[in-house]
Amino acid sequence: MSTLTAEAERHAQPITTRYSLRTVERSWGLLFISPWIIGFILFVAFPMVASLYLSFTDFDLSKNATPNWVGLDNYTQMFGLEFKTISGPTQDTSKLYDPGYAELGRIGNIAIGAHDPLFWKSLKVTLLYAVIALPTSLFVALGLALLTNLRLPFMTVFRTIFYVPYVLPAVASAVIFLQMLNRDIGWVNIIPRSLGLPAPDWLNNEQLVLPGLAMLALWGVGNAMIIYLAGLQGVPTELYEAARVDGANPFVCMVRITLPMISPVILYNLVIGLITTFQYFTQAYVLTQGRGTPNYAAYFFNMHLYNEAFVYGKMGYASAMSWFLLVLVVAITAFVFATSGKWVFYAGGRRS
Amino acid sequence: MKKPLRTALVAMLAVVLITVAWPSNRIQAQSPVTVRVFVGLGTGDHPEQQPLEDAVIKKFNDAHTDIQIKMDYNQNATASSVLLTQLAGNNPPDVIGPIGIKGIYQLGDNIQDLSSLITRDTAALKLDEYDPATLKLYTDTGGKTTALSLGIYPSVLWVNEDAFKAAEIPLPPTEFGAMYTDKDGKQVVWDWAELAKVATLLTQDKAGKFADEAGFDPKTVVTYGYDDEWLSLRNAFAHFAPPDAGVTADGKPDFNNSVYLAAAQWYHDAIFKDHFYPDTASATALNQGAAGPFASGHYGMWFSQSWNLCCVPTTAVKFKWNWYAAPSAPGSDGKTIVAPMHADTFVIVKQADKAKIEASWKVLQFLVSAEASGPLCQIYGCMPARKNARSDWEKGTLATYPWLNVKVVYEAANYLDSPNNESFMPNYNEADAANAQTMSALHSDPNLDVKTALDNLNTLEAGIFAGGKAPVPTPVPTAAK
Repeated sequence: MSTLTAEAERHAQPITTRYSLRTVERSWGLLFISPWIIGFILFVAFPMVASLYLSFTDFDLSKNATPNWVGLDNYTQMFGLEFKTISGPTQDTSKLYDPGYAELGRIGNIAIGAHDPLFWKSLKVTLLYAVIALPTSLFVALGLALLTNLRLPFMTVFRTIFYVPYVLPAVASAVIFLQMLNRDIGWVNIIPRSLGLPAPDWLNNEQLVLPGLAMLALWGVGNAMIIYLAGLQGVPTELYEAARVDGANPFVCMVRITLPMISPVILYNLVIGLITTFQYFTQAYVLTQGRGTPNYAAYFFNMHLYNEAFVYGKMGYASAMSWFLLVLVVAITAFVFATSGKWVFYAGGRRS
Repeated sequence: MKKPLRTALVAMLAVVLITVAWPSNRIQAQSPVTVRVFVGLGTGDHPEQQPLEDAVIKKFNDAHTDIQIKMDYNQNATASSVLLTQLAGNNPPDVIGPIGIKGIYQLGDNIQDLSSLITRDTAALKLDEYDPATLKLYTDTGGKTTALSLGIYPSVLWVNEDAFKAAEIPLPPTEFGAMYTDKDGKQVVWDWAELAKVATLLTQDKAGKFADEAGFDPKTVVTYGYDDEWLSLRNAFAHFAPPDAGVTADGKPDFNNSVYLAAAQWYHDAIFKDHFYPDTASATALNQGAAGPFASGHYGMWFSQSWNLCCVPTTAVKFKWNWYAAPSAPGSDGKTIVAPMHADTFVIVKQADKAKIEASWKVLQFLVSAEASGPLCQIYGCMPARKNARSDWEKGTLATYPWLNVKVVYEAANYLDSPNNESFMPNYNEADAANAQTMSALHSDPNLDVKTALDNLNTLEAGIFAGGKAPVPTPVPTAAK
């Protein structure tokens, strides 16, 4: 009797050990993801912190010197502008600006000097490209998704064909488009050439180079198309049946059912598209040999950043540029999310 | 039992740490200094070149116990990034090369000034063996000398003899300064104006019409009379004998001088008025698939440095070609000829370790010596800067191209541009990028006002030279039609 009682008593007492089960499980979990954590710290977090520090220094690889703290100098160099009144638009302004400033542009009788005119120029090119290419890509991807969502034979084949360009390396795609956009032999100009019309010089005309690059962007809409397709296939079919019963035509179904139901997917593609657009570099670099020609019309922000860092060696200044880009993209993304409440419909109710 | 085991483990760890950290001066004193040579910024990175370079280096290593050369080969496409990473990571190579004049200036303050070393060891360097024009190649306006010359690439006129035969035009002269017998049998000065006339006669459209014939269609040209699209702005304009290379003696920009203006107008007219030179779009279309533009067979004449031999493989080029003399500058009556030159050499990376600098200097002296520069130049395709090392280079070149007018390139070495077309510019990389933008506009914008473009470029360069950022060029007014 006493043995049984002692045994029962032992089992009745809570087991007290040095570490709780929760702690043990947490430790094992951390151990298993530690390779990722170490990699993240070494290859992401530490470089980010280092680049933030470098953005406040004059680190210049071409000068073979240690970085010195210069505070906000890099940022003032980036944003520095001065405005001078001139007598007329054709006035010679070569001696007008303070040392270190150069002409950015003129508006009427106001001449604008900048510490780094190419910073503003490249930002303008990037924003202009975003306005041209992003909506076009979203629209075309949605169109392709709607088409490939139809229940027709061989639709899987078409989905594959539209998706494949997305998985091709960006450099290879750019090299292909170097030929496709050529004025004399490019496929894009087959129609005007065959009609005897002047063929556009997509890569050497300041007004056409960005639309040409936007065409290249359309080459890679396969990923967005697949995401749209998934969204379209998640729309309950009974909504369309109910709408048809009420006499709705296909356009009304599109506007009142399809678009609202896939609006979260549109939001996702928009955010990803924005981030990708502001990171645009490879294709423009390959097509213009890194120069952004003609006349800087294709000189994207990341090309300027790349040149500053890896061609001119001005790592401190390039670090400041990269942090500006991060803040800009975060701000724009935050704005999109902030406004999404007005146009994104969540079937489960409004997101908190 | 656990405590002794723990103690033993700690003791073993201590022994290992002490062994690793113990200063091994005795060991270091006996091991040779290794000088790492970074190869890949220019030529020298090809797999077929590496064993040949190793064989040259082996001669030095076998003869020295205190210094050993280690070649660090890097693919050209990524070499620049790899080098920058090594510089940034405080792991620089000791020597870099082969590297061109432009490459040296692009590396800026990372390169060791050799002035004092050259002065100290002048006798050993045997500078009298050098072609005199090559001795000042690596001295900037501040008096810093970064290298001694290894090899040079004089420029020559590459002529597609089959194109001349098809157009029934006499070939250019092979001697510099010689007169040219034109199509009508007249003896005329062989200058850039005459070259333009010849190029027009060579240019042929898809229907077989030459540019001087009625019905010629400039939109369907298949053979252009002349091209030199691989030349930079300063390189191309040097043919016209400008007063400088875009930089005055006191370091100011001079990109809108009258000679540069005449040269720029010559090029713009050649492309958009006379149609014997392709614009960018046409050149891209014609050159695709070829080892180089001249190898494509679409050009009657091509001007570039002798390194273009890399891009005329005998297996791929099916037309007859050869080297001919460069024309003289317009208006000089045949008396002023400039054949702009490129060059390759080795440089020492600046570092605090003086012993390493001395070891690298010994290595550098070997690499540019007559003993090594001959074989190295055969590998790289350059003509040795030391005149006494040129015979092997000639033998090697003629073995591959037995028909070549080699004497043309020897003669071209007498007409080098000075200052060199790749000579020093403040903020070199940015200044060079600004030049490239203007050259690109020259080759692609039919409405370009050449004078305004060069004036804008000069203003751009003034800002860059002064250390400011490159200004954005204001829109160039279109030329009056």
